[in-house]
Amino acid sequence: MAEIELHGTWPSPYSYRVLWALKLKGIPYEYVEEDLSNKSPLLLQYNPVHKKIPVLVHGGKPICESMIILEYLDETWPQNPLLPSDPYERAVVRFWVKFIEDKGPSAWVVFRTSGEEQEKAVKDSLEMLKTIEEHALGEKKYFGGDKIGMVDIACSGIAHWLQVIEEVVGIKILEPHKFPRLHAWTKTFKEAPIIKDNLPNQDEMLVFFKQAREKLLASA
Amino acid sequence: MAEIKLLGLWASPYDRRVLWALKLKGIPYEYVEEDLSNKSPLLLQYNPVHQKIPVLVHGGKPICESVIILEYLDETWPENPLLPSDPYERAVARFWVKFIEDKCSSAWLVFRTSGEEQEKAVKDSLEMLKTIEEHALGEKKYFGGDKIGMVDIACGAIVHWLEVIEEVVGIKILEPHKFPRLHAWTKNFEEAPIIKDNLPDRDQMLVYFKQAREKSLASA
Repeated sequence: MAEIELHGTWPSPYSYRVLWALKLKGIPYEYVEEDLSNKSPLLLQYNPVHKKIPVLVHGGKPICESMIILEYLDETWPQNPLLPSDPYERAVVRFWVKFIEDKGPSAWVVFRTSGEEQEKAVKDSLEMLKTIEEHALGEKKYFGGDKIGMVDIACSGIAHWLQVIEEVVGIKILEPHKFPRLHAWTKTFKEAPIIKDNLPNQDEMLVFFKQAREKLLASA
Repeated sequence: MAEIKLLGLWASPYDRRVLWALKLKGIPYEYVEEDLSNKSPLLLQYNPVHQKIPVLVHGGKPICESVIILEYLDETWPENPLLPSDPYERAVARFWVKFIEDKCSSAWLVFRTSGEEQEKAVKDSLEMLKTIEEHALGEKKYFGGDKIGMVDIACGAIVHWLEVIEEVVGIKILEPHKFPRLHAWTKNFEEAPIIKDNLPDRDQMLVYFKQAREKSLASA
């Protein structure tokens, strides 16, 4: 079996997506923590276009972009599938993955900004959550049905990172009474086997993101 | 065989991608032209989240987002595949499809804006083309190798439409001497069987987008 390396950073949600997929499928790997303020020659070689993590390296060949890595893992290690087998159901999953990829960053804009720009980002984040609440989840336990699937992993930022952002900026976005289904899902997701043993510590995240926000606003 | 409908707009590059894929695979379909200034109840029902075209409807079930439709077509009609069979090569193709999807918005901004905002959009578009020129194409005839693949289709729609936009705004972006590989590829792609018989009429596109730009600037 060719060696697998995951190049990531703590506490990047994109890193964790790949980590969970590897663990859910029982795929052995070596983790390499990257320093994004001082990017390694290896990272620049493996991801010359974006110079970002995560990068999965399999037998020396790099794959970039977290959701593309997840599709690769699902095709190469079909056990505990992250995508359904039916092509139509797969298209629905990919639709929601694309939705969260396109709209999810508004929560990070809330984190990075203040004033009018932040207000708009809060509005965009609320719209994103509303769409997911109304159209994506239904009455299922997970987006994937009875088991965690690709959309659950893609939406994990909502389950675990959003709370930290909310606390750092002092704005509540995912209010339980406004988003009852999503709220229930965040609890279920974080209590799932493997996920619960592999979540970044929220107290440590608070310290990290508070410092990061201070730096950002100071240099704005 | 369940009925296939494509809800689209003739001048949209996203629509064109799906049309090419259907024709390359020899899949019979019914085309329904949508009026985006007066969206049909059917479109709103089939794409409640984005209310956009294209939408592919197969046996009454809608699939939205052009690249997701392409993946669905490839999985359901495997003849004349758009993606390679090797998982690593598929990951590379998906990487470039995502890159084009994420970056082509700068080309839309060139079309919709003027002044400083347009200058920045031109700069971003040039960077996008530079990355594709330097990293994506290599010495191959098509991104897909000897045959047209998903990256060709994704990129081809944008590039063909960009040629019209350049003329509408009066700014040359894809200059042959700056982007020799991309320029050669554009010629190969637009002369390929099926593609060349299914390109939107250039004069009609010019009229359409000139009017659209005027409206866009008037309401800015």
